[in-house]
Amino acid sequence: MFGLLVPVQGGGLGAGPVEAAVVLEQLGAHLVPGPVVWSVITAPILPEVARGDVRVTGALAEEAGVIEHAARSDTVVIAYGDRVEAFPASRLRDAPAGSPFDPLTPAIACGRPPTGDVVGGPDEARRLRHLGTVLTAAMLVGLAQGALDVAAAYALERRQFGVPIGSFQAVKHMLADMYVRTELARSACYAAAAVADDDRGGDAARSASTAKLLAGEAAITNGRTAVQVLGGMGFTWAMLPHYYLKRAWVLEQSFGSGGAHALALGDGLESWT
Amino acid sequence: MDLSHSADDERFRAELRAWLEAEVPRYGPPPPPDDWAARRAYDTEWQRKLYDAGYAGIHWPVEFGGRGLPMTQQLVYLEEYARAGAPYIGVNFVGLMHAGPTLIAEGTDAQRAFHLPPILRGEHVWCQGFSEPEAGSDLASLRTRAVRRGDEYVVNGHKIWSTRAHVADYCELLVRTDPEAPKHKGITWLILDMHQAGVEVRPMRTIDGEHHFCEVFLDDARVPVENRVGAENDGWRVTNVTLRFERGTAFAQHIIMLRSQIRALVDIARQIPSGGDCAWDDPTLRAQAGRLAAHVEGLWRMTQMGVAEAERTGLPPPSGSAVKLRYSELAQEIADLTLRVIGRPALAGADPRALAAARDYLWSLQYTIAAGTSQIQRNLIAERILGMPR
Repeated sequence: MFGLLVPVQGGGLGAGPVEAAVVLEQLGAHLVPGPVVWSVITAPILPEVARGDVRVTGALAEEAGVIEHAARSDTVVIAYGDRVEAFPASRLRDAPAGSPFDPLTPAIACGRPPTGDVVGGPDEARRLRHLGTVLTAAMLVGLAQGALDVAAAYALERRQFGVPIGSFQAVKHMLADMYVRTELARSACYAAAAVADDDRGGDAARSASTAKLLAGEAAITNGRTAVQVLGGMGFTWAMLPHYYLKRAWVLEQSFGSGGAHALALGDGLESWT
Repeated sequence: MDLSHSADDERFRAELRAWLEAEVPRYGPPPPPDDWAARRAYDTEWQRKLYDAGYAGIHWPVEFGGRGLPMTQQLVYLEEYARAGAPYIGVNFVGLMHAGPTLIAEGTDAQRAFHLPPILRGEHVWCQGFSEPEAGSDLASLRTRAVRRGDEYVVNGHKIWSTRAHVADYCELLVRTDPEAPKHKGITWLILDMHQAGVEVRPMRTIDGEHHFCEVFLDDARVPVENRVGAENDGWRVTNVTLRFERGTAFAQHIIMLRSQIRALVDIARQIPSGGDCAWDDPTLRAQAGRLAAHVEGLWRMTQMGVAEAERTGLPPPSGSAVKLRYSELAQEIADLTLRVIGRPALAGADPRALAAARDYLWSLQYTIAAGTSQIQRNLIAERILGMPR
């Protein structure tokens, strides 16, 4: 799967951003752990990743104060504005391990990342940033859908006052809003993936920011709403909503937060046509 | 998935853009909001220009006077139309977006031949006679009564929320023809000639101080039987053909206009001084506007994908309710932010820009009420899409 974006002649699947987005969406919906976005986007420049010989994680330089999955990775990739660097994950091993926000996403706080070997130039840095944004948005869309599925199933099954709670309008309206957020984010995400392939359909950077912002809002709000729909059980460790909510926060903070993308979009509005 | 436009689309876009760039500046500003005779003339004369240039009924079938182009080109049309700041569809809305498509789907040959060309040419203005004081969200409980006498129906009742009925020539009218049948099974769809004794129109003053909506009182109004669309008592099905336009692509032109509203917000913020700078220098405001722009673009993508799905399957996608719901709330959020940016000058209403922003804000409150309230849309989504029990 890590060879999704690797050309067929290079031993990969030769898929494009749209196919990759569909796959990442499913990984999100099923809460698959691990640095899957970084693995998929770096495989074209690190062949050993596509083969599964090396486990890679990464971060944008401005987000590299915290690195996810570092302890179980072999290589850490950092995307700067003008280059891509890689260094052995063992160089972060003495960073203190804490108690991660998402139990399935261990992360270490490392301050400034060490200098590594340059493995890509400005074009490669731009490509990683752009595809990482789109595919992170795709995972968030999956999380939003997963949270909706869990909440809707519970609303049909859980009975109070002699009827399923899903028959109450207050619950219906929460679920309807979850659906709207998910569909909006999914449309923006598929569009951003299509535009990443062929920019005649829109501005690539703006489409990616739009997708990331909407998907982050959808996943966090849906995760939070799923907790509410499941009520007291939703507040427990035993049920799924907290995993969706916590993973949504992890991905919200990767490849630019919603706030950062909102400002980028706002700054571009003067030239918006 | 292919979001890029075809060569045909791009040729169409270039021609339309050139035409709009030449014609829109020449057409002049719209008349004052409450001069309805002038508004009718402004809107219908513009429609005639569109017709003469071949831009009326882009996706209507050729046999009914349209261009017969795919819906994807209708979206290109809307994008260019909004980009050029061309006049709002205005009094032509019901004819072009509801009555015309309903007649194409359900009308007789004679009805189509008589009504469709004048709609496209901007000669006939239509209004909608659906809601009643006691039939709002529960539209099927409507009570306006039509009794058949010989070759005509005699109609008595009271309609409300008929947009621009005071300048309309025809009304798409829902009436009760069988009061004994279950409520959905006794309704008939009629074409009412507004210019007759027995039809009294009273404009209502709304929250923004204007008169967009009317009450229509029907006192022995006459409708010839040949002006019935569909079979007697089959009007609810015919109506749903119409409502499907409301929940599908009819909002596309409003969604694309939100881009213009965000552009207007940016222009206003750049002109308002704020401590030596302008309001737009505030990154918090730029991020708020950027966030709203993301929601507008997301909705436009959803519309594009919905249209692509409808072209493929022949049916509008179920997410139409979601588009309507999000669009209507987003329009309010944009209007709210614009009013905040203007600030205290909106209270005086002396500056035309402040006055327009205040009107837009108040007008936007109707979006979450008209064409199915947001609460009804949420019920529909939960029940019909997510399978929650009624």
